[in-house]
Amino acid sequence: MNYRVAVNVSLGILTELLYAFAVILSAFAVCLVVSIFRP
Amino acid sequence: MILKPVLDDFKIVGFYLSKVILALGAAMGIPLILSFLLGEYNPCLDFAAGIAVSFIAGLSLKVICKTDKDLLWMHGMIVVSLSWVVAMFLSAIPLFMSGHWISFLDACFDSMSGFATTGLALVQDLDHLSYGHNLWRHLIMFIGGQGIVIVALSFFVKGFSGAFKMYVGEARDEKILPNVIHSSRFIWMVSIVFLVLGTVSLGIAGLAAGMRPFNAFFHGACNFMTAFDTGGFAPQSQSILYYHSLAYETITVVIMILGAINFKLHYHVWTGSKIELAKNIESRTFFAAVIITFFITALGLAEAGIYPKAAVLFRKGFYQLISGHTGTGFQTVYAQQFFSDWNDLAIVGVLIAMALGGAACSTTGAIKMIRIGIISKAFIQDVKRILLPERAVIIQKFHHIKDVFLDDKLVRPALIITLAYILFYFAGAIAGMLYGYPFLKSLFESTSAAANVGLSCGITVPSMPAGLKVVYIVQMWAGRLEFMSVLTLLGFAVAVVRGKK
Repeated sequence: MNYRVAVNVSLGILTELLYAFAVILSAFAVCLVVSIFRP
Repeated sequence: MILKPVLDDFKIVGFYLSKVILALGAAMGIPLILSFLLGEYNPCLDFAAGIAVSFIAGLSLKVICKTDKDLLWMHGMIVVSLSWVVAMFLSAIPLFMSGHWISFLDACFDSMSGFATTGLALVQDLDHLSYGHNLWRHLIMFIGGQGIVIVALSFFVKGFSGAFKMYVGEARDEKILPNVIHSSRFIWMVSIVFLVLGTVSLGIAGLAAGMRPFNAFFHGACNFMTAFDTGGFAPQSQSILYYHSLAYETITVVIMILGAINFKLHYHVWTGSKIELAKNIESRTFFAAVIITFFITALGLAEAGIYPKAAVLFRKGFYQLISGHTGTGFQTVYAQQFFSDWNDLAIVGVLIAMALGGAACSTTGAIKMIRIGIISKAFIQDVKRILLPERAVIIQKFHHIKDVFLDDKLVRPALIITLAYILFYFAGAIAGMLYGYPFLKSLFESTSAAANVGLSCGITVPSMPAGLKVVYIVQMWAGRLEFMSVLTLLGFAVAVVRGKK
């Protein structure tokens, strides 16, 4: 496996991790909004 | 007119089935080696028996059915659906011999639950199960997640014209690479890369939670296999609640989301276009569906008032929701808590999430995001058609690797499969009600089985009626294969009886 492939795969995994954390943080924001209006 | 199958049809099916059986027998060698290394000699015998039966059956079938005829679509579909049933029986042998399952039916239930990546379990005294058997439970989930036939294709087949027919039969209608064998190997490569990263992460989290090093990494590997393959078996009876670790829960949530991504999308994100993840209809629909269903669940939990702090509500509510949405089935609440502590609104949020599932060509079950995305787009198109002038030309498109124009040829199959799943969920619910369970509980457990999720509200226990166990086995099997190959098998059986010569 050459250097460029390794970098590309690493960046790909990083992008997917960012997506996963975006889902988690957005859901957390939903939770905060619900908690504010229904304490 | 249905034609009666000829001897060659049976030989072709038997020949390719033999390859799958032999591959399964070889896979049993992995837990056998682990058991031997750890000095668990009784489990060694259980796996030796399983391997012996698999090799005798596989080799006999191979010799009897030897043929060089090409596989037709019908054969491919039948090989796939039969492979899953045969694999269920064979892999249940070492499970049943362990003595942790009270009947062979229970061992078959867990075996099908494993292969179909469901996660409902009837095992007794799981906390004292041997390492070898525990590894086998998780390994069958890993194999099932990739697709049993894909496993056989990747390792035992150099390339033949019928590969694509079996690949499609396992509910993977998208080729990642032009060659199916290469596609199968790419699926394995993604899984192995994440296996290493996930096992190390979960192992470290386990060590931080106070586990012994071997156990931390063994549990890490097992939990990774079932999280990434959106299965849901866990090495301990309390599932992920056992670890009482926020880090462990966060890592498993990330792995579950990664497991719910389309392998074709993994390929494009890994090899070039990173922005594809933000543009793709499946990742967008998944994002929206998680937010909407979690909003419903969070409202329900806030109304019920059982988690007074927002952080606790999020930790408990979101974990069950994402576990249901990705079709995994890990739990951080007890099964009975769903109906004793949660209110109906919170349960319905999780129920909808379970029914929707993750991406197509991933390891999840259920309706899947691509279909939900296409149906949503079709709705928007129809609303536009009503609102805009009659002469206006309405063009709707979506992005899935490339821009695709929406037309009825895409909407129709999406609607048919969605309807089939909804009917299937309700059929299982009716079966549950016939055995005396309340409607919502029955629907929850039925959806969990048919959508290959594994969250349980307490119906799935060893003492449940045998008939309901069979219903759930059929739901797990047909739900995982998306009906078509199972219906082809039924059609083949009808042709054997009533077909014309």
